Amino acid sequence: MTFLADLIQTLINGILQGGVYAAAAVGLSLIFGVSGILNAAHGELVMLGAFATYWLSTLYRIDPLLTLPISFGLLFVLGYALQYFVLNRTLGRPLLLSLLVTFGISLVLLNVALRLWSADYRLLRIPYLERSLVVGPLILPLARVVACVVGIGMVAALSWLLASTRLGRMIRATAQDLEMARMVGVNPRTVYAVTFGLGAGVSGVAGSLVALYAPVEPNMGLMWGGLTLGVAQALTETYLEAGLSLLVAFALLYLILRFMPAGIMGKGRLE
Amino acid sequence: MPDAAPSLVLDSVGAGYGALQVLWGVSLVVTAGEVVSLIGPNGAGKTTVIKAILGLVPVREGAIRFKGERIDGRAPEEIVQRGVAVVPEGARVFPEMTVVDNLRMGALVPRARARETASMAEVFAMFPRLAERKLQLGRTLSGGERQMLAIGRALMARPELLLLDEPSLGLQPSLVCSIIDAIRGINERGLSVLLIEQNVHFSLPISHRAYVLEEGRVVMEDAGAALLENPHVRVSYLGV
Ligand SMILES: Nc1ncnc2c1ncn2[C@@H]1O[C@H](COP(=O)(O)OP(=O)(O)OP(=O)(O)O)[C@@H](O)[C@H]1O
Ligand SMILES: [Mg+2]
Repeated sequence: MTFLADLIQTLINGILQGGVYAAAAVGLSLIFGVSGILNAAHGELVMLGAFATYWLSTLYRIDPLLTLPISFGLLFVLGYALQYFVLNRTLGRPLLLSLLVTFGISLVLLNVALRLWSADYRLLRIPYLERSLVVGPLILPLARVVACVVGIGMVAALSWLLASTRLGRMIRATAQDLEMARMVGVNPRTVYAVTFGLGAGVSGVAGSLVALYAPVEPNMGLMWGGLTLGVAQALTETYLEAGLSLLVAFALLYLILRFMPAGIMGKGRLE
Repeated sequence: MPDAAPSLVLDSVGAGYGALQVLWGVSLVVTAGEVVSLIGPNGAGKTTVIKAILGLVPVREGAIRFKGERIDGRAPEEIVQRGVAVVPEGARVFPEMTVVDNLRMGALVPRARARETASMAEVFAMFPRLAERKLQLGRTLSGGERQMLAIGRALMARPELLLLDEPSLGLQPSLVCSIIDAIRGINERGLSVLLIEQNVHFSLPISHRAYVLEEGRVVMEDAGAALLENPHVRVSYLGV
Protein backbone atom coordinates (compact mmCIF):
# COMPACT_ATOMS: atom_id res chain seq x y z
CA MET A 1 0.00 0.00 0.00
CA THR A 2 2.70 2.50 0.91
CA PHE A 3 4.53 1.44 -2.23
CA LEU A 4 1.49 2.34 -4.33
CA ALA A 5 1.01 5.61 -2.47
CA ASP A 6 4.67 6.47 -2.99
CA LEU A 7 4.40 5.65 -6.65
CA ILE A 8 1.35 7.86 -7.09
CA GLN A 9 3.03 10.68 -5.20
CA THR A 10 6.12 10.38 -7.39
CA LEU A 11 3.93 10.55 -10.47
CA ILE A 12 2.16 13.65 -9.19
CA ASN A 13 5.44 15.34 -8.44
CA GLY A 14 6.60 14.44 -11.91
CA ILE A 15 3.52 15.92 -13.51
CA LEU A 16 3.86 19.10 -11.46
CA GLN A 17 7.52 19.21 -12.44
CA GLY A 18 6.33 19.30 -16.07
CA GLY A 19 5.41 22.97 -15.82
CA VAL A 20 8.91 23.78 -14.62
CA TYR A 21 10.47 21.64 -17.35
CA ALA A 22 8.45 23.52 -19.94
CA ALA A 23 9.69 26.84 -18.56
CA ALA A 24 13.27 25.61 -18.43
CA ALA A 25 13.14 24.22 -21.96
CA VAL A 26 11.37 27.07 -23.73
CA GLY A 27 14.39 29.35 -23.39
CA LEU A 28 16.72 26.77 -24.89
CA SER A 29 14.38 26.17 -27.81
CA LEU A 30 13.79 29.89 -28.44
CA ILE A 31 17.51 30.59 -28.69
CA PHE A 32 18.14 27.60 -30.92
CA GLY A 33 15.18 28.33 -33.17
CA VAL A 34 16.07 31.98 -33.72
CA SER A 35 19.85 32.15 -33.57
CA GLY A 36 20.80 28.54 -34.32
CA ILE A 37 22.84 28.43 -31.14
CA LEU A 38 22.67 25.33 -29.01
CA ASN A 39 23.31 26.90 -25.66
CA ALA A 40 25.50 24.52 -23.68
CA ALA A 41 25.40 26.98 -20.75
CA HIS A 42 21.65 26.61 -20.50
CA GLY A 43 21.70 24.53 -17.33
CA GLU A 44 24.01 27.05 -15.69
CA LEU A 45 21.51 29.84 -16.41
CA VAL A 46 18.86 27.76 -14.62
CA MET A 47 21.31 27.29 -11.76
CA LEU A 48 22.05 31.04 -11.55
CA GLY A 49 18.34 31.82 -11.42
CA ALA A 50 17.94 29.36 -8.57
CA PHE A 51 20.79 30.98 -6.67
CA ALA A 52 19.41 34.47 -7.37
CA THR A 53 16.19 33.51 -5.64
CA TYR A 54 18.01 31.69 -2.84
CA TRP A 55 20.33 34.57 -1.97
CA LEU A 56 17.84 37.39 -2.50
CA SER A 57 15.42 35.80 -0.08
CA THR A 58 18.08 34.58 2.37
CA LEU A 59 20.23 37.70 2.52
CA TYR A 60 17.71 40.45 1.79
CA ARG A 61 14.57 38.78 3.14
CA ILE A 62 12.73 39.32 -0.14
CA ASP A 63 9.70 37.09 -0.52
CA PRO A 64 10.82 34.23 -2.82
CA LEU A 65 7.94 34.79 -5.21
CA LEU A 66 8.89 38.46 -5.53
CA THR A 67 12.41 37.44 -6.50
CA LEU A 68 11.11 35.88 -9.74
CA PRO A 69 11.01 39.14 -11.72
CA ILE A 70 14.42 40.12 -10.32
CA SER A 71 15.82 36.75 -11.35
CA PHE A 72 14.38 37.33 -14.84
CA GLY A 73 15.93 40.79 -15.03
CA LEU A 74 19.38 39.68 -13.88
CA LEU A 75 19.50 36.76 -16.28
CA PHE A 76 18.09 38.86 -19.12
CA VAL A 77 20.95 41.33 -18.74
CA LEU A 78 23.52 38.52 -18.52
CA GLY A 79 22.08 36.75 -21.58
CA TYR A 80 21.84 39.96 -23.61
CA ALA A 81 25.45 40.81 -22.82
CA LEU A 82 26.72 37.31 -23.57
CA GLN A 83 25.10 37.36 -26.99
CA TYR A 84 25.96 40.94 -27.80
CA PHE A 85 29.59 40.89 -26.78
CA VAL A 86 30.55 37.25 -27.22
CA LEU A 87 28.20 35.12 -29.29
CA ASN A 88 27.50 37.73 -31.98
CA ARG A 89 31.13 37.27 -32.95
CA THR A 90 30.34 33.68 -33.97
CA LEU A 91 27.61 34.77 -36.46
CA GLY A 92 28.12 33.30 -39.89
CA ARG A 93 30.64 30.78 -38.56
CA PRO A 94 30.05 27.03 -38.27
CA LEU A 95 27.49 26.15 -35.61
CA LEU A 96 30.06 24.07 -33.80
CA LEU A 97 31.87 27.25 -32.84
CA SER A 98 28.90 28.67 -30.96
CA LEU A 99 28.50 25.33 -29.19
CA LEU A 100 32.11 25.40 -28.08
CA VAL A 101 31.85 29.02 -26.96
CA THR A 102 28.72 28.38 -24.89
CA PHE A 103 30.40 25.28 -23.50
CA GLY A 104 33.26 27.49 -22.37
CA ILE A 105 30.77 29.93 -20.84
CA SER A 106 29.14 27.08 -18.94
CA LEU A 107 32.47 26.00 -17.47
CA VAL A 108 33.19 29.56 -16.36
CA LEU A 109 29.76 30.01 -14.78
CA LEU A 110 29.95 26.64 -13.04
CA ASN A 111 33.37 27.28 -11.60
CA VAL A 112 32.55 30.79 -10.48
CA ALA A 113 29.49 29.41 -8.72
CA LEU A 114 31.55 26.68 -7.07
CA ARG A 115 34.13 29.22 -5.89
CA LEU A 116 31.54 31.63 -4.54
CA TRP A 117 29.07 29.23 -3.03
CA SER A 118 30.84 25.83 -2.74
CA ALA A 119 29.15 22.59 -3.77
CA ASP A 120 26.85 22.64 -0.73
CA TYR A 121 23.15 21.94 -1.05
CA ARG A 122 21.03 24.86 0.12
CA LEU A 123 17.31 24.63 0.71
CA LEU A 124 15.03 27.64 1.05
CA ARG A 125 12.55 27.56 3.91
CA ILE A 126 9.28 29.09 2.78
CA PRO A 127 6.73 28.39 5.51
CA TYR A 128 3.68 29.54 3.59
CA LEU A 129 4.50 27.18 0.72
CA GLU A 130 5.17 24.18 2.92
CA ARG A 131 1.53 23.23 3.12
CA SER A 132 -0.09 20.75 0.79
CA LEU A 133 -3.38 20.71 -1.04
CA VAL A 134 -5.25 17.51 -0.34
CA VAL A 135 -7.54 16.40 -3.11
CA GLY A 136 -9.17 13.10 -2.13
CA PRO A 137 -6.32 10.63 -1.71
CA LEU A 138 -3.86 12.92 -3.51
CA ILE A 139 -1.43 15.23 -1.79
CA LEU A 140 -0.29 18.20 -3.86
CA PRO A 141 2.65 20.06 -2.27
CA LEU A 142 1.79 23.74 -2.58
CA ALA A 143 5.31 24.83 -3.54
CA ARG A 144 5.29 22.46 -6.51
CA VAL A 145 1.80 23.49 -7.55
CA VAL A 146 2.83 27.16 -7.51
CA ALA A 147 6.02 26.41 -9.46
CA CYS A 148 4.06 24.46 -12.07
CA VAL A 149 1.42 27.14 -12.52
CA VAL A 150 3.95 29.97 -12.74
CA GLY A 151 6.08 27.95 -15.17
CA ILE A 152 3.15 27.31 -17.48
CA GLY A 153 2.08 30.93 -17.14
CA MET A 154 5.52 32.07 -18.21
CA VAL A 155 5.50 29.82 -21.28
CA ALA A 156 2.09 31.28 -22.16
CA ALA A 157 3.41 34.82 -21.70
CA LEU A 158 6.37 34.13 -23.95
CA SER A 159 4.09 32.65 -26.61
CA TRP A 160 1.94 35.75 -26.44
CA LEU A 161 4.98 37.98 -26.78
CA LEU A 162 6.16 36.08 -29.86
CA ALA A 163 2.73 35.98 -31.45
CA SER A 164 1.36 39.42 -30.74
CA THR A 165 4.01 42.07 -30.24
CA ARG A 166 6.27 43.97 -32.59
CA LEU A 167 9.31 42.49 -30.84
CA GLY A 168 7.82 39.01 -31.28
CA ARG A 169 7.28 39.62 -34.99
CA MET A 170 10.87 40.80 -35.35
CA ILE A 171 12.11 37.65 -33.64
CA ARG A 172 9.94 35.36 -35.74
CA ALA A 173 10.85 37.14 -38.97
CA THR A 174 14.55 36.77 -38.17
CA ALA A 175 14.05 33.06 -37.53
CA GLN A 176 12.11 32.57 -40.77
CA ASP A 177 14.20 34.59 -43.22
CA LEU A 178 17.18 36.46 -41.82
CA GLU A 179 18.09 38.32 -45.01
CA MET A 180 14.50 39.42 -45.66
CA ALA A 181 14.18 40.56 -42.05
CA ARG A 182 17.20 42.80 -42.59
CA MET A 183 15.64 44.13 -45.78
CA VAL A 184 12.69 45.45 -43.76
CA GLY A 185 14.98 47.02 -41.21
CA VAL A 186 15.57 44.39 -38.53
CA ASN A 187 18.98 44.62 -36.87
CA PRO A 188 19.76 40.94 -36.31
CA ARG A 189 22.47 41.55 -33.73
CA THR A 190 19.97 43.30 -31.48
CA VAL A 191 17.32 40.66 -32.12
CA TYR A 192 19.77 37.87 -31.26
CA ALA A 193 20.80 39.68 -28.08
CA VAL A 194 17.20 40.25 -26.99
CA THR A 195 16.37 36.64 -27.83
CA PHE A 196 19.25 35.33 -25.75
CA GLY A 197 18.23 37.71 -22.98
CA LEU A 198 14.65 36.44 -23.06
CA GLY A 199 15.78 32.82 -23.18
CA ALA A 200 18.18 33.34 -20.30
CA GLY A 201 15.60 35.28 -18.29
CA VAL A 202 12.98 32.55 -18.68
CA SER A 203 15.55 29.87 -17.82
CA GLY A 204 16.55 31.86 -14.74
CA VAL A 205 12.96 32.02 -13.58
CA ALA A 206 12.69 28.25 -14.11
CA GLY A 207 15.65 27.91 -11.76
CA SER A 208 13.95 30.22 -9.28
CA LEU A 209 10.87 27.98 -9.41
CA VAL A 210 13.01 24.92 -8.65
CA ALA A 211 14.43 26.77 -5.65
CA LEU A 212 10.92 27.01 -4.22
CA TYR A 213 10.83 23.29 -3.50
CA ALA A 214 14.24 21.73 -4.07
CA PRO A 215 17.78 22.30 -2.86
CA VAL A 216 20.04 24.58 -4.85
CA GLU A 217 23.65 23.74 -5.76
CA PRO A 218 26.07 24.71 -8.55
CA ASN A 219 26.05 21.29 -10.21
CA MET A 220 22.28 21.33 -10.69
CA GLY A 221 22.94 22.95 -14.07
CA LEU A 222 24.37 19.71 -15.41
CA MET A 223 21.13 17.88 -14.87
CA TRP A 224 18.90 20.71 -16.03
CA GLY A 225 20.86 21.27 -19.21
CA GLY A 226 20.54 17.65 -20.25
CA LEU A 227 16.97 17.16 -19.07
CA THR A 228 15.54 20.11 -20.91
CA LEU A 229 16.96 19.14 -24.28
CA GLY A 230 14.21 16.63 -24.99
CA VAL A 231 11.46 19.04 -24.04
CA ALA A 232 13.19 21.84 -25.95
CA GLN A 233 13.19 19.72 -29.07
CA ALA A 234 9.43 19.36 -28.98
CA LEU A 235 8.99 23.06 -28.22
CA THR A 236 11.25 24.18 -31.03
CA GLU A 237 9.13 22.23 -33.44
CA THR A 238 5.92 23.76 -32.15
CA TYR A 239 7.14 27.33 -31.97
CA LEU A 240 9.65 27.88 -34.69
CA GLU A 241 9.70 24.94 -37.11
CA ALA A 242 13.47 24.77 -37.03
CA GLY A 243 15.54 21.92 -38.34
CA LEU A 244 15.20 19.28 -35.69
CA SER A 245 17.58 16.65 -36.93
CA LEU A 246 20.28 19.23 -36.34
CA LEU A 247 19.13 19.67 -32.77
CA VAL A 248 19.32 15.93 -32.20
CA ALA A 249 22.87 15.87 -33.49
CA PHE A 250 23.85 18.76 -31.29
CA ALA A 251 22.06 17.24 -28.33
CA LEU A 252 24.29 14.20 -28.59
CA LEU A 253 27.35 16.36 -28.94
CA TYR A 254 26.23 18.40 -25.96
CA LEU A 255 25.73 15.37 -23.76
CA ILE A 256 29.10 13.98 -24.75
CA LEU A 257 30.80 17.28 -23.96
CA ARG A 258 29.03 17.59 -20.64
CA PHE A 259 29.35 14.10 -19.31
CA MET A 260 32.43 12.81 -21.09
CA PRO A 261 34.63 15.87 -21.37
CA ALA A 262 37.66 13.70 -21.91
CA GLY A 263 36.12 12.35 -25.10
CA ILE A 264 34.04 9.29 -25.86
CA MET A 265 37.03 6.99 -25.45
CA GLY A 266 38.20 8.84 -22.38
CA LYS A 267 41.55 9.48 -23.99
CA GLY A 268 41.39 13.22 -24.52
CA ARG A 269 42.28 15.61 -21.78
CA LEU A 270 40.60 18.74 -20.58
CA GLU A 271 42.46 21.40 -18.57
CA MET B 1 7.19 64.36 -65.03
CA PRO B 2 10.29 63.45 -63.08
CA ASP B 3 12.03 66.32 -61.36
CA ALA B 4 15.77 66.67 -61.65
CA ALA B 5 17.24 65.52 -58.31
CA PRO B 6 18.95 62.13 -58.49
CA SER B 7 17.46 59.62 -56.04
CA LEU B 8 19.86 56.74 -56.61
CA VAL B 9 23.28 56.86 -58.22
CA LEU B 10 25.56 53.91 -58.91
CA ASP B 11 28.99 55.13 -59.90
CA SER B 12 31.26 52.53 -61.57
CA VAL B 13 30.24 49.82 -59.13
CA GLY B 14 32.14 46.55 -58.96
CA ALA B 15 30.71 43.79 -56.77
CA GLY B 16 30.55 40.03 -56.46
CA TYR B 17 30.54 36.95 -54.32
CA GLY B 18 33.84 35.90 -52.77
CA ALA B 19 36.38 35.46 -55.54
CA LEU B 20 33.69 35.79 -58.24
CA GLN B 21 33.29 39.34 -59.52
CA VAL B 22 29.83 39.77 -61.06
CA LEU B 23 29.43 43.53 -61.64
CA TRP B 24 32.02 45.52 -63.56
CA GLY B 25 31.91 49.31 -63.48
CA VAL B 26 28.13 49.55 -63.38
CA SER B 27 26.89 53.14 -63.51
CA LEU B 28 23.20 53.83 -63.26
CA VAL B 29 20.95 56.70 -62.16
CA VAL B 30 17.38 56.81 -60.96
CA THR B 31 16.12 60.38 -60.88
CA ALA B 32 13.46 61.23 -58.32
CA GLY B 33 10.04 60.34 -59.70
CA GLU B 34 11.33 58.05 -62.45
CA VAL B 35 10.63 54.44 -63.31
CA VAL B 36 13.91 52.94 -64.49
CA SER B 37 14.07 49.42 -65.87
CA LEU B 38 17.05 47.13 -65.70
CA ILE B 39 16.90 44.33 -68.23
CA GLY B 40 19.33 41.61 -69.19
CA PRO B 41 19.65 37.86 -69.68
CA ASN B 42 19.66 35.34 -66.84
CA GLY B 43 22.83 35.54 -64.83
CA ALA B 44 23.70 39.04 -66.08
CA GLY B 45 23.87 40.35 -62.52
CA LYS B 46 20.53 42.18 -62.18
CA THR B 47 19.75 40.74 -58.76
CA THR B 48 23.32 41.44 -57.72
CA VAL B 49 22.77 45.13 -58.54
CA ILE B 50 19.87 45.19 -56.08
CA LYS B 51 21.87 43.31 -53.46
CA ALA B 52 24.71 45.79 -53.85
CA ILE B 53 22.33 48.73 -53.41
CA LEU B 54 20.95 47.12 -50.24
CA GLY B 55 24.34 46.30 -48.80
CA LEU B 56 23.81 42.55 -49.08
CA VAL B 57 26.90 42.07 -51.24
CA PRO B 58 29.99 44.17 -50.61
CA VAL B 59 30.78 46.95 -53.08
CA ARG B 60 34.43 46.58 -54.05
CA GLU B 61 34.81 49.50 -56.41
CA GLY B 62 32.90 52.68 -57.04
CA ALA B 63 30.20 54.28 -54.94
CA ILE B 64 26.46 54.13 -54.37
CA ARG B 65 24.57 57.25 -53.31
CA PHE B 66 20.99 57.61 -52.19
CA LYS B 67 19.65 61.18 -51.94
CA GLY B 68 23.21 62.40 -52.26
CA GLU B 69 24.65 60.33 -49.39
CA ARG B 70 26.98 57.36 -49.68
CA ILE B 71 25.23 54.14 -48.73
CA ASP B 72 27.79 51.58 -49.92
CA GLY B 73 29.42 49.88 -46.97
CA ARG B 74 26.33 50.38 -44.80
CA ALA B 75 24.27 47.53 -43.33
CA PRO B 76 20.99 46.63 -45.10
CA GLU B 77 18.88 47.53 -42.05
CA GLU B 78 20.43 51.00 -42.07
CA ILE B 79 19.94 51.53 -45.79
CA VAL B 80 16.23 50.66 -45.74
CA GLN B 81 15.68 53.11 -42.88
CA ARG B 82 16.71 55.91 -45.22
CA GLY B 83 13.75 55.23 -47.47
CA VAL B 84 14.60 52.33 -49.77
CA ALA B 85 12.23 49.35 -49.91
CA VAL B 86 12.52 46.15 -51.88
CA VAL B 87 10.34 43.50 -53.46
CA PRO B 88 13.02 40.82 -53.66
CA GLU B 89 13.38 38.05 -56.21
CA GLY B 90 10.88 35.34 -55.31
CA ALA B 91 8.81 37.75 -53.12
CA ARG B 92 10.13 36.20 -49.91
CA VAL B 93 7.05 36.76 -47.79
CA PHE B 94 7.57 35.51 -44.26
CA PRO B 95 6.17 31.99 -44.62
CA GLU B 96 4.92 31.40 -41.08
CA MET B 97 3.34 34.83 -40.69
CA THR B 98 -0.13 35.99 -41.58
CA VAL B 99 -0.74 38.53 -44.34
CA VAL B 100 -1.36 41.20 -41.70
CA ASP B 101 1.84 40.40 -39.79
CA ASN B 102 3.84 40.40 -43.04
CA LEU B 103 2.50 43.88 -43.77
CA ARG B 104 3.27 45.04 -40.24
CA MET B 105 6.86 43.88 -40.71
CA GLY B 106 7.01 46.24 -43.68
CA ALA B 107 6.19 49.18 -41.43
CA LEU B 108 9.03 48.42 -39.03
CA VAL B 109 11.25 51.33 -40.04
CA PRO B 110 10.74 54.35 -37.76
CA ARG B 111 9.60 56.60 -40.61
CA ALA B 112 6.63 54.28 -41.26
CA ARG B 113 5.50 53.14 -37.81
CA ALA B 114 3.08 55.93 -37.00
CA ARG B 115 1.26 55.48 -40.30
CA GLU B 116 0.96 51.68 -40.11
CA THR B 117 -2.83 51.56 -39.97
CA ALA B 118 -3.35 54.05 -42.79
CA SER B 119 -0.72 52.31 -44.95
CA MET B 120 -2.38 48.96 -44.45
CA ALA B 121 -5.75 50.35 -45.52
CA GLU B 122 -4.11 51.71 -48.69
CA VAL B 123 -2.49 48.36 -49.45
CA PHE B 124 -5.80 46.55 -49.00
CA ALA B 125 -7.47 49.09 -51.28
CA MET B 126 -4.80 48.46 -53.92
CA PHE B 127 -4.92 44.64 -53.57
CA PRO B 128 -8.39 43.55 -52.40
CA ARG B 129 -7.31 39.90 -52.66
CA LEU B 130 -4.99 40.47 -49.72
CA ALA B 131 -7.81 41.97 -47.68
CA GLU B 132 -9.75 38.75 -48.16
CA ARG B 133 -6.80 36.74 -46.82
CA LYS B 134 -5.71 38.80 -43.83
CA LEU B 135 -5.12 35.88 -41.49
CA GLN B 136 -3.77 33.41 -44.02
CA LEU B 137 -0.15 32.35 -43.60
CA GLY B 138 2.39 33.56 -46.16
CA ARG B 139 3.32 30.06 -47.26
CA THR B 140 -0.27 29.22 -48.17
CA LEU B 141 -0.64 32.13 -50.64
CA SER B 142 -0.54 31.65 -54.41
CA GLY B 143 2.39 33.03 -56.40
CA GLY B 144 0.46 36.12 -57.48
CA GLU B 145 -0.78 36.79 -53.97
CA ARG B 146 2.77 36.51 -52.66
CA GLN B 147 3.96 39.13 -55.12
CA MET B 148 1.10 41.42 -54.12
CA LEU B 149 1.97 40.88 -50.47
CA ALA B 150 5.64 41.60 -51.11
CA ILE B 151 4.73 44.83 -52.92
CA GLY B 152 2.34 45.75 -50.12
CA ARG B 153 4.98 45.03 -47.52
CA ALA B 154 7.44 47.28 -49.35
CA LEU B 155 4.88 50.11 -49.58
CA MET B 156 4.20 49.82 -45.84
CA ALA B 157 7.69 51.24 -45.33
CA ARG B 158 6.63 54.53 -46.99
CA PRO B 159 9.74 54.44 -49.15
CA GLU B 160 11.01 57.06 -51.56
CA LEU B 161 12.70 54.47 -53.75
CA LEU B 162 11.22 51.08 -54.55
CA LEU B 163 13.40 48.26 -55.89
CA LEU B 164 11.51 45.45 -57.62
CA ASP B 165 13.21 42.22 -58.69
CA GLU B 166 11.02 40.33 -61.17
CA PRO B 167 7.73 41.02 -59.41
CA SER B 168 5.81 39.10 -62.09
CA LEU B 169 7.97 35.99 -62.26
CA GLY B 170 5.82 32.96 -63.06
CA LEU B 171 2.55 34.88 -63.25
CA GLN B 172 -0.06 34.63 -66.00
CA PRO B 173 -0.12 37.57 -68.46
CA SER B 174 -3.24 39.18 -66.98
CA LEU B 175 -1.59 39.26 -63.55
CA VAL B 176 1.64 40.63 -65.03
CA CYS B 177 -0.46 43.44 -66.45
CA SER B 178 -2.10 44.26 -63.15
CA ILE B 179 1.24 44.19 -61.29
CA ILE B 180 2.72 46.57 -63.90
CA ASP B 181 -0.36 48.80 -63.55
CA ALA B 182 0.13 48.81 -59.79
CA ILE B 183 3.75 49.86 -60.25
CA ARG B 184 2.72 52.67 -62.57
CA GLY B 185 0.18 53.82 -59.98
CA ILE B 186 2.80 53.70 -57.23
CA ASN B 187 5.16 55.81 -59.34
CA GLU B 188 2.41 58.34 -60.07
CA ARG B 189 2.13 58.89 -56.33
CA GLY B 190 5.73 60.11 -56.37
CA LEU B 191 7.89 57.05 -55.69
CA SER B 192 11.03 56.42 -57.70
CA VAL B 193 11.21 52.88 -59.04
CA LEU B 194 14.02 50.61 -60.16
CA LEU B 195 12.38 47.68 -61.91
CA ILE B 196 13.87 44.38 -63.03
CA GLU B 197 11.38 42.71 -65.32
CA GLN B 198 11.70 40.02 -67.97
CA ASN B 199 8.42 40.92 -69.67
CA VAL B 200 9.94 43.94 -71.38
CA HIS B 201 6.92 44.53 -73.62
CA PHE B 202 4.99 45.28 -70.41
CA SER B 203 7.68 47.02 -68.41
CA LEU B 204 9.45 49.24 -70.98
CA PRO B 205 6.33 51.23 -71.93
CA ILE B 206 5.94 52.41 -68.31
CA SER B 207 9.69 53.07 -67.89
CA HIS B 208 11.08 56.58 -68.36
CA ARG B 209 14.48 55.07 -69.02
CA ALA B 210 16.06 51.63 -69.11
CA TYR B 211 19.47 50.03 -68.89
CA VAL B 212 20.58 46.79 -70.50
CA LEU B 213 22.95 44.73 -68.37
CA GLU B 214 24.98 41.93 -69.94
CA GLU B 215 27.69 39.91 -68.21
CA GLY B 216 27.82 42.41 -65.39
CA ARG B 217 28.27 45.48 -67.60
CA VAL B 218 25.82 48.17 -68.73
CA VAL B 219 25.81 47.83 -72.52
CA MET B 220 22.96 50.15 -73.41
CA GLU B 221 20.87 52.93 -71.95
CA ASP B 222 17.91 54.73 -73.49
CA ALA B 223 14.34 55.89 -73.00
CA GLY B 224 12.05 52.94 -72.29
CA ALA B 225 9.98 53.31 -75.45
CA ALA B 226 13.11 53.76 -77.59
CA LEU B 227 14.72 50.58 -76.26
CA LEU B 228 11.57 48.67 -77.13
CA GLU B 229 12.25 49.60 -80.77
CA ASN B 230 15.94 48.73 -80.57
CA PRO B 231 16.83 45.79 -82.87
CA HIS B 232 19.21 44.19 -80.33
CA VAL B 233 16.61 44.36 -77.57
CA ARG B 234 13.89 43.07 -79.89
CA VAL B 235 15.96 40.06 -80.86
CA SER B 236 17.33 39.26 -77.41
CA TYR B 237 14.39 40.03 -75.15
CA LEU B 238 11.30 39.90 -77.32
CA GLY B 239 12.39 37.05 -79.59
CA VAL B 240 11.35 38.92 -82.75
N1 LIG C 1 25.10 33.92 -53.58
C1 LIG C 1 25.87 33.76 -54.67
N2 LIG C 1 27.07 33.18 -54.57
C2 LIG C 1 27.86 33.02 -55.66
N3 LIG C 1 27.52 33.41 -56.88
C3 LIG C 1 26.32 33.99 -57.06
C4 LIG C 1 25.43 34.19 -55.97
N4 LIG C 1 24.32 34.78 -56.42
C5 LIG C 1 24.50 34.94 -57.74
N5 LIG C 1 25.70 34.47 -58.12
C6 LIG C 1 26.23 34.48 -59.50
O1 LIG C 1 26.27 35.83 -59.94
C7 LIG C 1 25.87 35.91 -61.30
C8 LIG C 1 24.76 36.92 -61.42
O2 LIG C 1 23.64 36.48 -60.70
P1 LIG C 1 22.32 37.33 -60.51
O3 LIG C 1 21.44 36.59 -59.60
O4 LIG C 1 22.68 38.71 -60.15
O5 LIG C 1 21.74 37.31 -62.00
P2 LIG C 1 20.36 37.85 -62.55
O6 LIG C 1 20.67 38.81 -63.63
O7 LIG C 1 19.52 38.34 -61.45
O8 LIG C 1 19.75 36.54 -63.17
P3 LIG C 1 18.23 36.03 -63.25
O9 LIG C 1 17.60 36.72 -64.42
O10 LIG C 1 18.35 34.57 -63.50
O11 LIG C 1 17.58 36.34 -61.95
C9 LIG C 1 25.49 34.52 -61.73
O12 LIG C 1 26.57 33.99 -62.46
C10 LIG C 1 25.30 33.77 -60.45
O13 LIG C 1 25.67 32.42 -60.59
MG1 LIG D 1 17.78 37.73 -60.61
